[in-house]
Amino acid sequence: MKKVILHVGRHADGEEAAAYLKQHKEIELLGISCADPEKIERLKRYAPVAAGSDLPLLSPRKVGDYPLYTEEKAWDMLKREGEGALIVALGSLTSLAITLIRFPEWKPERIIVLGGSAKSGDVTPFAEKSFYEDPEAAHIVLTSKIPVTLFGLDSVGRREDREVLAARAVTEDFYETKKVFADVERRSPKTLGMSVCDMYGQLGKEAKTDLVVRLKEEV
Amino acid sequence: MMAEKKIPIILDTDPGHDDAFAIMMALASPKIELLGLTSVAGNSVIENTTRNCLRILEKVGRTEVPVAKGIGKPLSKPLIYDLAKKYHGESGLEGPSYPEVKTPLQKEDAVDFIARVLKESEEKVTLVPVGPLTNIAAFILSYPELLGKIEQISIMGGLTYAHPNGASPAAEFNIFQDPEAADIVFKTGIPIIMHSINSTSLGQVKDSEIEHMRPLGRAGEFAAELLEFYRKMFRSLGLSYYNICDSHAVAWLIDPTIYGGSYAHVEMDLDGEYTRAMTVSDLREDRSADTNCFVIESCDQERYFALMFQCLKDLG
Repeated sequence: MKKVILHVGRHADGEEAAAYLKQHKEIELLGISCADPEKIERLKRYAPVAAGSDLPLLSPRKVGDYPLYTEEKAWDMLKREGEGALIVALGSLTSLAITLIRFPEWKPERIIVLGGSAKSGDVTPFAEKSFYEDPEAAHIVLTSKIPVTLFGLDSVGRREDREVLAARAVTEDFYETKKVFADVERRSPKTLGMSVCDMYGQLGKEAKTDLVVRLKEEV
Repeated sequence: MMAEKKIPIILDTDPGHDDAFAIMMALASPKIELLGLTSVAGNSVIENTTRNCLRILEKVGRTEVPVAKGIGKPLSKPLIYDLAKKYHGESGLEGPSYPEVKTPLQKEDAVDFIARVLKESEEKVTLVPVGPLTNIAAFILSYPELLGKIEQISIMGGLTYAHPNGASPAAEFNIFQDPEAADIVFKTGIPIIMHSINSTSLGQVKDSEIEHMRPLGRAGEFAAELLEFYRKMFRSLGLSYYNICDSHAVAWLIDPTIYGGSYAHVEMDLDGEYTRAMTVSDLREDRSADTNCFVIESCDQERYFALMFQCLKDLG
């Protein structure tokens, strides 16, 4: 049985992926991390839901009203259930980054990230939406010690079933990967949120991200 | 005579020689209610700074103060401590000898500890971070709904002009160690009192001051031993003077009249080629009225040291 946690960040839907993971005979869906109160209600039927944050890490957090959740905090659930589990990460990565900030030694088996792109963007010419939403969070996840499989726009594009594809990657072998050093541009205003995948090893940094370069034909 | 209301504080610290002085002043002063210490990585790795918090409390016989272990790595960059090791030594608190630590830590980590203390406190609590702002930022990210329980944040950190003890020409060490954390903290709108490397380095420790501390009991002797080591390290780096920075963040709470300063708008720069980690402070005469920070600019050194001696003596 593969232990899996589903993370549903901003701009992700999550419901089809949750349904797929829940009904799969070889997968145990331990929990779902989500910050949108309306989505939380819908996702509860698939697994226990823990409440995260969709406010980008470096957006101001002032004294004020924040959603009052009855669910436990996402980073507490991810820390407790995540060791040795696979994380399927859809949408912006804020809650996963907060987990790593709180617990730098947190080591799930792998995170399958749907986001970023090696060649071009969607919301800007260079950045894909969920990385653009919170570049700092994407940077923290990609540069952590946790193995990451990166399904970017180049591989899955705008396919309607891309969220389910990321979930299917838990057990199915329908993709080819290349180990690269990958990070996100956080400093330049022109290319903010762009994922930089060092395809040719030009930066001389450790290549530890499994970038999905091609889907096999049958998919 | 009615007892004066104490200021409840949590001290977030990376001992560190000057951190020890901040801790001792907070323990000693009748104006401060020290609700706990939270350790952070900075002057040394988290295992060392955590152990040093316990060592300090054991040295002065105040182990009833809870200590919660914090985060070992800045938010989104690796920890650098080679620079700090030159000042604080291998364990971060070299100089005196220490018995094996016996006092236990809190079960919760620093962030959950701060959350619990804030929830349980009837009044707002002052945070006093004297190391990198990693724990404070992690608390803000994890518990934004509790921000209203923070009275103010009295930080030792930041830089207003180039200084020999800065980490770079534009940045001070605590902020340099975790600029993203500082960015999160300065954006909360919670009143911040900034004790920069500049204002906290105005007074130099003289040899006579070390000798004044030594006979002041157990705490005084500990203080003298710490400063002897500290003095030796600074001199070996070719620096002719040194100061006790962190304790100003506590001294200001005890007696703000010792200090002068002005309100300013302060924000972090994360992007500059030279100014990454700079606390960008508008200190012009005709400055922006949109202020978020009280920047300390002057300190009556005589009164500051008198307060320190009194605290060491009262600590016993």
